[in-house]
Amino acid sequence: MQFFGGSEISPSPPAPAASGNNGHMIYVFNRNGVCLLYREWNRPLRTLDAQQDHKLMFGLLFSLKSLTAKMDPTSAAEKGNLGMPQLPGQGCSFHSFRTNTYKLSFMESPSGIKIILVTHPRTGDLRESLKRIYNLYVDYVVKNPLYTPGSPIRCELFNTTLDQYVRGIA
Amino acid sequence: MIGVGKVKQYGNVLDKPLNKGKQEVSLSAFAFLFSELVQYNQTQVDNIGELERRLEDAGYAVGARVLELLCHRDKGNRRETRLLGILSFVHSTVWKVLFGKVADSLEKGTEHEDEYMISEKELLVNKFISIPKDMGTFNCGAFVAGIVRGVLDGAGFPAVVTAHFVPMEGQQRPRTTILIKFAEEVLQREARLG
Repeated sequence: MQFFGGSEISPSPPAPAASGNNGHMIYVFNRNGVCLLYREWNRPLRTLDAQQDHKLMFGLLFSLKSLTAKMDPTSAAEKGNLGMPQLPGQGCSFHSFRTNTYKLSFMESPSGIKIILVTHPRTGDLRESLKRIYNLYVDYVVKNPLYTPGSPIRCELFNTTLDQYVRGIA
Repeated sequence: MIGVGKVKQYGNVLDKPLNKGKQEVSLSAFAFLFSELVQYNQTQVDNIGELERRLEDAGYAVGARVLELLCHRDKGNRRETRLLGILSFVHSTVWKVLFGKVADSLEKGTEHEDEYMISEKELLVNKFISIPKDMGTFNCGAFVAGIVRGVLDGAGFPAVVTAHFVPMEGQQRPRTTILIKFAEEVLQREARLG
């Protein structure tokens, strides 16, 4: 399994932020940990460089997923040891956490595509929105013959529709 | 298999009646198939021009067959002999059958006598495709240009057909124009017919 594919990802230039823009950042990872897309609209504080930032985010999600699966009081299935890589959908899936300054929402597709959206803390449940974003991904990225799966996303159409959609999320 | 119970299976495809009527296909299925066509051709060629030519050739085969089918099905076996007739046939009937709507506009070129343009805000084949910057002027609409060329060639109006992006102010996505340049003999024949 190849972790953290070696391609250089530089953050795409932020779209001009409308005053009603609630989304702060979005990450899209594939099942191997390659960051396919990182876009930011509103991120005043940046502490790490891009590569480390992506690794940190992916590692965080990996740990959170195994932790939540392990601590699940309702599941009767035999759980692996903490830290064992899990298939998408196995174990209970966490979908968001909230701090006093931001809310992070997460969705994993059956093919292992992870979508992370960071918004302001008052945002409601974003599971439907994440599903819509996954639909956008399927439409404008997967159906694009000029995109090779597993490489960083450079599709104009996806970027513009994504910006428009995130701007419209309440 | 989806749909296997709905259509009566004919032993020989030639036995199927041509007037079966129009059936619709899922857009996603077509998009994936077309995407695979483009990717397959990408592995076989070295440069963009060659890729466009291959897509056009694929479209040419479709155009030749579409012409025969539509002449039989929609036009009662009449054939067009005039330039404007064949152009409006392509603009309305062919577009309606292939894409479900007529083309946005049909214009005569201002600079040259032999140029005509069919414009579309967004070609159906390009709906999900964004061209990366390093591919320059490559346009998957070359497939549609090939279809038009196939129809025109089969009808006796040889032409050179290409697809171009025309940027529009106020809109993000450029409009697509299919440029049709007829051969000399077509214009001469048209002039003779009066």
